[in-house]
Amino acid sequence: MIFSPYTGLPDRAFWRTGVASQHPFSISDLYHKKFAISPKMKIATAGSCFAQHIGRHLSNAGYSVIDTEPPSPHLTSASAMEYGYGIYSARYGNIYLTAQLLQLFQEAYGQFAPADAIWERDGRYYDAMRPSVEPRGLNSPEEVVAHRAKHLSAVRQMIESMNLFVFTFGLTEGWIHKETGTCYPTAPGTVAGSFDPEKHSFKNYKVHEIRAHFLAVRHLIRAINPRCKFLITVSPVPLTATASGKHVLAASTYSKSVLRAVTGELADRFADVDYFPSFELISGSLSRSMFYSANLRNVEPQGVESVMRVFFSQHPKVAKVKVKVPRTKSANLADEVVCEEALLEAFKA
Amino acid sequence: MKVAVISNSHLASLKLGQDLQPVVGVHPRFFGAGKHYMLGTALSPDGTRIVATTQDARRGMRVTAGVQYIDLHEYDAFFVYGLTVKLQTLLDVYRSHQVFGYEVSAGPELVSEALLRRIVRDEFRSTAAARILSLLAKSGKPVLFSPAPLPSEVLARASENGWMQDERGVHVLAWLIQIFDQSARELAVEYGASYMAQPAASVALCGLTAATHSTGAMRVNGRAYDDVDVDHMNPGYGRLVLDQACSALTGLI
Repeated sequence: MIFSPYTGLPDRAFWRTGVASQHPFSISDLYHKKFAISPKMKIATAGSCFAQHIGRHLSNAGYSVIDTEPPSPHLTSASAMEYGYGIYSARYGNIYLTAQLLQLFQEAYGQFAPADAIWERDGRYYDAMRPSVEPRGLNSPEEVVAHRAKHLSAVRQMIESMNLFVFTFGLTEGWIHKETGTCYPTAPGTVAGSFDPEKHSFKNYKVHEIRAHFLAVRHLIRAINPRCKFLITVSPVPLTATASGKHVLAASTYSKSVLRAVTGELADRFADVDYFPSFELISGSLSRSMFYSANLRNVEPQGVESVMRVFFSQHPKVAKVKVKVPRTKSANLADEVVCEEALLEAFKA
Repeated sequence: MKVAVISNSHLASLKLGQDLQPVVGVHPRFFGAGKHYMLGTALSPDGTRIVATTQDARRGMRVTAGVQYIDLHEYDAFFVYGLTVKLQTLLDVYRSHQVFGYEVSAGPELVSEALLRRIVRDEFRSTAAARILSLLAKSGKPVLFSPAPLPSEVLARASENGWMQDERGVHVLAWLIQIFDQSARELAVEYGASYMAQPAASVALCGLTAATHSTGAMRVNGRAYDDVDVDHMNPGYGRLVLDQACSALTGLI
C-alpha cells in the first residue's frame, strides 16, 4: 500500500468532497472555532460595510454587542442608520482599512492626530475621519472638534470594555495626506472636502503594512484590555472602483488576496485571533456567485444568512430574539448596509 | 366659511373657545379623539369621506362632531391642530444629550442641529397629523396645520428645568423652538398644507406659552385640567388660535 501525506485526511481536505459535492447553503466542516464566544462576552464590531451584517446578526442572536453611542429613541431606524448610529459599536462609520483602524485607536489615546481632519462643503463642516456620520455636516469646525472628542471617548469606552473585537478587513486602496500619511476613509471630495493632488495621494497598502497595522492595533488593545480576543474576516464585497490603474477585477482580486493572506497569517500566529471564512462562503466557487446581487458586488440577504448559519453552527445563538423591526416603511432595511465606498460609482463619467 | 377642525385633546380649547366667543363668519365643526385613537388607519378614506374605522375613533368623533366621518365636500377648508406634533420631543432629547454651544446636561453624547431637525421629521411622520394631512390633501381645498401649543411657562418653573430660566436657557429654548418650527413648517408644506405658528401674543419672555393661557384649561367634557398641566391651554387661548387660523384660511380660499 502506498502512503501519502494526504492519506487519511478528512473530507474537508479534498476539493471534491469538501467543495464540489457540497451545497452552498449547507456546507459542512468549513469553520472550526478557535475559542468559544459566551453570551456574557461584550462584543465590539468594526470594519467594512459587510461587517454591519455580522454585528446585526450577532445582536439579533442574543449576543452582547456593545453600542457606546446609541441613537436617540426618537429617531427611526433609517435615520439612525443614515447618521451612523447602531451600525457599529461606536459611531465611526465604515473602517475599510487597517491603517484607518489603527489611527482611530491611537487617536483615542492621544497617540495620533489626523492631518486635515475637518472637511468643508457648502458651508458645512465634516469630520474627515468619518464624514458620512453627519450627512448634513455640522455648523462649525469647532463643533466638529467637539463631536470628535465625544466620539473618541466612546471609542475608549468600547476598547476598555470589549471581550471580543470583530473586525472585517475591507480594502487595501485608500487616500492619504501626503505629508503625514494620515489615511482617510473616503477619497477627499467624495463625501466632503476636495481632492488636492499636491496634498493627497493614492495608496495601495501592502501585506507587510496591513499586517503591521493590525499587530499595532492588537498590541494597543491588549495593553489596555489584555484578555480581549479577536475575530477577523475579509469582506467578500469587491471594489467599487480602483485608482490603481489596473482593471477593477484584477485590482479587487489583488486587494482581497492581500487581505486574505494577512488574516490567515494572523490567525495562524495568534491563539487569540480567529478567522471566520465569510469571504470564502460568498465569493468562493462553491456559491457560483449566487449570493451576489445583479451588480455582482452587493451581497444578497440569503448570502448573509448562509454565512451566519455557518457562524452559528460553531457559536450557537444565545436565545431566540426577535429581529429588530425598523420603524420605517423600508421593507428591506434589516438587510441594508451603509457603504460609502459605493459612492465612487457616481464618479464614473 | 365652513371649516373642519381636527385635533386630539387640544380640540377642547378650540371648541370651548368658539363657544365662549364665536369667530365671526366662520362655521367650524370640531372632530377629535384621543391621540392614540387617531393613529394608523383609525381614520381612512371612503370615497369623498374620511371615516373613523375603530371603535375609539368613532366614539371620539361622535362625541365631538356628532358624526363618524368628515365629508370633504362639506367643508371649504380644514384646520389640523396638534395631534402630537409638539416641541416636547426636542426638549427630551436636549435633556438627555448635549448640544454644541448649549451644554447644560451631563448627557454623554453630542447631537447636531441637523439631527434634531431629523428627529422632528421622524416624529412628525409617525403622528396622526401626517396621516390626516395626507388624506386631506386629496380634497384640493385649503388645509392649515398648526402644531400643539408650546408648553406653558409653568414648565420652566419646575426645579429640574432651572436651566430654562437663565439667559442661556432662554437662548436654548429659542433655538429649539426655531428648529421645531422650521422643521414642522417644511413638513406641513411637504404634506400639502399651509403652516401656522403659535400666535406670537401668546408667548412669554422665556419662549414658552404664557402661564395665563394654561390656567383654567379644560377637557372636551368640560372637566378641568390641573393647573400644573403644562401641555393644555384654556378656551381663551383656543379662541386666539381659532381666530388666527380662520383668518389664515380665509386668505387661502
